[in-house]
Amino acid sequence: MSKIHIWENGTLTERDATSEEQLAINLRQSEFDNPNRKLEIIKLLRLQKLKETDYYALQDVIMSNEMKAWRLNLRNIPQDYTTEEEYDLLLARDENGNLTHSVWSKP
Amino acid sequence: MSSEIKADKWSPASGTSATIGDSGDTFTVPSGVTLDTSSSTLTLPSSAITGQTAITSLADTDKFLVSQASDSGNLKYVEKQYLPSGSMVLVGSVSSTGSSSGIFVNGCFSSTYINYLFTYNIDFSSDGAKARVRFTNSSNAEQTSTYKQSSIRDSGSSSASSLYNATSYFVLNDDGQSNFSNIPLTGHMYITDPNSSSRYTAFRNFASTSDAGRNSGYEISGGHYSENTSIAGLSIYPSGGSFEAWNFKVYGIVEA
Repeated sequence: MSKIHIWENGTLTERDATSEEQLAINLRQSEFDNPNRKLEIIKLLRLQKLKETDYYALQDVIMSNEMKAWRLNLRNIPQDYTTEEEYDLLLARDENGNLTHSVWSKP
Repeated sequence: MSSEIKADKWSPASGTSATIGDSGDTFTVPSGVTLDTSSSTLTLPSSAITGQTAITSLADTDKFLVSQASDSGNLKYVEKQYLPSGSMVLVGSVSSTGSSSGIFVNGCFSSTYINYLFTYNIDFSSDGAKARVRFTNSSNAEQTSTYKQSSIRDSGSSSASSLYNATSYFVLNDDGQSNFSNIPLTGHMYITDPNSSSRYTAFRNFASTSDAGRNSGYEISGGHYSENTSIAGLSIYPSGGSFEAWNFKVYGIVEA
């Protein structure tokens, strides 16, 4: 059961969510767990990684084949990873908050 | 045996100091008698203040002893209601660590103040979650009619954008927040005229954000609750997952 906290007149109390509140919480959670929302986060992370390496594409910089392949893999994420389970793996982090999927590892 | 000393003046028998009575004795100055020390030096015991009963709040007519500079330092008193006060008064404060799916701050708004400052600091359990807010009435019931909110935001990972929402809540962050506890969602919001039942309650929010990619950003928004409803409190809840740690404070802003 989810917990609700109430502050009133200087006192904080905790109680279980009522059945009506729990229904609303469950509905919010199911909307939050929508795979499309997870894909949006993955695309945000991908954009960030690509931006970080955009300078390799400048005319006077040589981009290695490994870097080209890595950036291509990033671009192909939406077509290469299509299930919610794969999205969860792409979004997994270690205890320090670092992404753990190999696709994010820059060569 | 009782006796009475009648003398026009007491003086030390020798030297310049003398003692009245012994430890444990009590000398009483009866009603109607004046003990005039106005031209002398009067040393009070160090327990003159700490020996009294402490109080934890002040009434407007509670009094403080002052030496009035404009009247040769003569002693006067001033009442608490005439003392200068801070410009903000804490009217709501809640902080905790631990999972919560919703937090109510009840009764923080009243007719005492027109403007309020709400500060917040939130750790989320889930990457990409938003903090939603609803106003509550004097019965602590969430108000679920339309909140209209316009905002602009920018972050290190995306271009600046502007948004408009009209729904049954408003948000402290429209860009989903990182769940990394080192970078909580922080910000402040001004709320105007919540107690009025004839005007919309308005809010202006400024948030320091960090998206799921750990990129720092900001959001500025303004809006109102589109009902003439008297507002008494706040309900804050996550769009998904839970709040893992939170700190909310509400201050009433004293009118000049």
